[in-house]
Amino acid sequence: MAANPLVEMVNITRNFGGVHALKGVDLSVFAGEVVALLGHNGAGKSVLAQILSGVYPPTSGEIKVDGSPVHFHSPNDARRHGIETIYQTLALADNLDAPSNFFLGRELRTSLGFLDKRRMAEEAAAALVDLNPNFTDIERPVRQMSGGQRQAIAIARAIHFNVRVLIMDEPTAALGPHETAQVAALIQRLRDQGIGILLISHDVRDVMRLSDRIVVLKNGELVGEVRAEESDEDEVVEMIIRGRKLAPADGDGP
Amino acid sequence: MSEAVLPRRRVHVTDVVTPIWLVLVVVIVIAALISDRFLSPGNVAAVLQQGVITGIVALGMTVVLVGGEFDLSTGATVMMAAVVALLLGPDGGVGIAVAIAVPLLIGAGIGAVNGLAVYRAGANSIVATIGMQFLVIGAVLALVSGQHVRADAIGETFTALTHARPLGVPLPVFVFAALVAALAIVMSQTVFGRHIYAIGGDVEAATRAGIPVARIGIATYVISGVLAATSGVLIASLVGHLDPTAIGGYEFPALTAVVLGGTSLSGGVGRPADTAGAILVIAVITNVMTILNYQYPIQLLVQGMVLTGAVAFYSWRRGGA
Amino acid sequence: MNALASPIFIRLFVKPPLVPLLIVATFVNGFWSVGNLRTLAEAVSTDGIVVVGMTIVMIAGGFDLSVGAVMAMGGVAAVVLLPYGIVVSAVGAAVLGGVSGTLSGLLVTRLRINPFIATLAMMVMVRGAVLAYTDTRPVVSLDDTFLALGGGYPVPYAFMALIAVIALAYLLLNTRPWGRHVYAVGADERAAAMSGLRVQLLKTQCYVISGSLSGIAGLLLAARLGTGSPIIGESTPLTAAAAALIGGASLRGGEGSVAGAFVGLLFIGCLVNVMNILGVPSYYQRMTIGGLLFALVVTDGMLMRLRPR
Repeated sequence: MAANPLVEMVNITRNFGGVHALKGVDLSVFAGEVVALLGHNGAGKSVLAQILSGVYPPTSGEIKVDGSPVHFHSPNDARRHGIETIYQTLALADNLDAPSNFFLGRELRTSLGFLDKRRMAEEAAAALVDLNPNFTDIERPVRQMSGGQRQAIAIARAIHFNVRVLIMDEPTAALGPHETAQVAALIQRLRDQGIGILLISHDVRDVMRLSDRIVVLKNGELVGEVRAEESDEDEVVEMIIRGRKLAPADGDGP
Repeated sequence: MSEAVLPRRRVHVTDVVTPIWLVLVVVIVIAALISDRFLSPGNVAAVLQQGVITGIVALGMTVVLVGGEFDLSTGATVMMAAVVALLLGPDGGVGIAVAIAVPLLIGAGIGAVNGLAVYRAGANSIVATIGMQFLVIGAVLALVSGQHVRADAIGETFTALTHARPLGVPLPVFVFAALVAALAIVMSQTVFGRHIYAIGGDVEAATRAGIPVARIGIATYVISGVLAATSGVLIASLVGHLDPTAIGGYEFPALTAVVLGGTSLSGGVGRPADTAGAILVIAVITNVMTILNYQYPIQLLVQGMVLTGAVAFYSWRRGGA
Repeated sequence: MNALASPIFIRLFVKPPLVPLLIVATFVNGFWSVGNLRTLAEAVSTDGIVVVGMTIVMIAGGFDLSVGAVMAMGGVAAVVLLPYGIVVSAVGAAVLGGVSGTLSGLLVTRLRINPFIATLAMMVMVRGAVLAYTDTRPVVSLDDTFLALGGGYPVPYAFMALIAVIALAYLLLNTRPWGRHVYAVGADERAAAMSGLRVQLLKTQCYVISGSLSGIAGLLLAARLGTGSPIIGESTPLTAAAAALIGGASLRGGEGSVAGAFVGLLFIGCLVNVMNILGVPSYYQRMTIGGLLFALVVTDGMLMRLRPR
């Protein structure tokens, strides 16, 4: 594995009003690695992921990409560094069609500065068919599309633009067994391409199967991390519930 | 395989002829049957003139509502602009330019404050802009001490803004047509327009896509403020002097037109051209009622019913909500 | 109880500086005279009855922009129905208001129209109907019983009516299950429906109450003025909303109290009263109400954003 992580989050805190959602958390993702972020609702895993996505700035702490500090003021800043996110809600504008959602926030323009609808439709179509060969009629409001098609749009736009780190927020939560298997295959494929993946989940079994490294949060603090191959479900569940590791290793939480 | 997906540029008839244009045709036919005066050139010009003033206001409100919010301060902005334009004495080249520019700038300022309140502070846009409406009306009346406003001097060029009739059509109609075309292009062909639709469709999705929601939202209010002020300047040119307490209430017929044109009350759907169609429908109905001697109160009642009916119709067609 | 639970800075910020205003008012000549206090009581009593209805609707998560127009309708109806006796007149005003409230409720619950837009449309329709019926002219009454209803010395009858309405609303909201249900509907409509509450009926009832109270307020105002005017009440929805917001209600529903709204209204009433004594023209008052409402709605929005979701 490469010596330097793709991204590194150092001593991240985040307060909302008087609520301390994160109390100094470290997290790194290496190339070609699947890191799972586990914890109860309210443990802070979503907030941590959204800080890396550029949705919120951290209250304090540092984010480094390729070893150099960066500041994200919007999801665009994160995306510029190759950090893409697939949200659990998919974050699609239901009233717009697939190409519009695919290019949302980074639309292609003609030389006169207008929307290049034709090129956007062609590129989106190619990317979507690549992911889901049964995709038809992409120029409809996505409201009219099936759950699988909608997810394909969210995934396709996250991996289309030179992604280096992919954040997946509960990617299998709303899916049937068949679609879950497809997502698992996709994760393998992306990892083999050297993409770093941050997987947020509360399904321990899924996580054990899909990830290389598991990081557990509780009450905004790092409980600890284990390598998936060196651990088992019981140990991870214990960490989530009790908030402590059975066998302490290096880099313990604060 | 990919041929089913690859888009062909299709333009359906329904893309251009939305229901509101059919309604317009029906309304015109009925109006012509009811009164033989309706299609007289003078009356048609009057219908257009009437529609244009409210129509420009409605265009701005359409942009705001596509973004998912309301602007009910527009009627007050119309009044402000008319009064300020006259107070500045639109005479001479510079004077006229100032009398047009200053009201538009104030309109932009009112829009910016509305936009900040709604998009930065998260204020409820309906109640906030009603508050703004009273604030602006009160301020304008205070400015003129509640008195009748008469310009010291009005240049002919300023009057000609509304009284000139190239090709027999009042000049404001051309202004309106140009604004409709410009906004139609902005909304459908630019990144800015696309982002307004995204914000109105799903604010969260827009935020996560890195769209600067607040900046674009504030811009929609600024557009609305400037357009409402434009209407006010046209009124100043049209009448030359006015009783500020007697003009107002433009926001309601404008809102009715916006909704009648198919703009969704929850945002994300709507087109300036359809608002223009709806404006004409309302102008025709109002005109016919005036011809038939149904005065303002009945017109108000009918507008309320049209708004309710339009909201009910579209919410039924979109399957509730 | 709710107010005590909220942070003190919010309380200081949201609660009206009523006491400071009253102290300042001491320096305004004649503010504390019996005559002026009676004028103040008259002014707040009709608006106050409307505020109670508005507050209840807002607690249920709705809004009622039609209150001013319905007030005008109530006043006109009361005067027009006077020849049939004062009871018919009073009942008529309340029932007409209730009918209008029913329509608002149906638009909101059955047609699922956004309450602001639904009641805005109702406002315009009711206003149009009243203006059409009266041919835009006020209707005058010289009936002694009716005019006596608008009197009362030193305490105006309208003010007593307001106190009675506030007491009733307080009991209804705080001691009856119905009140709990209204708060529940406003806080989370879906949760309320899933716990078996008849959400649509409850919301409609709130609009009916608001409409009836507005009708009664219109009657009392007409009795005081001796005329039913079709154009009164233009700024009433603003005043009522501002008072309710000051009193802790929120535009997202589930919060608010009638007593708090009354304090809010007293604050606005004193402000306007002082302006009247000082001879400040009415358009400055309009500006003040508009600016106050604007600031309150902005505060309401900011408080909502501060809350963790």
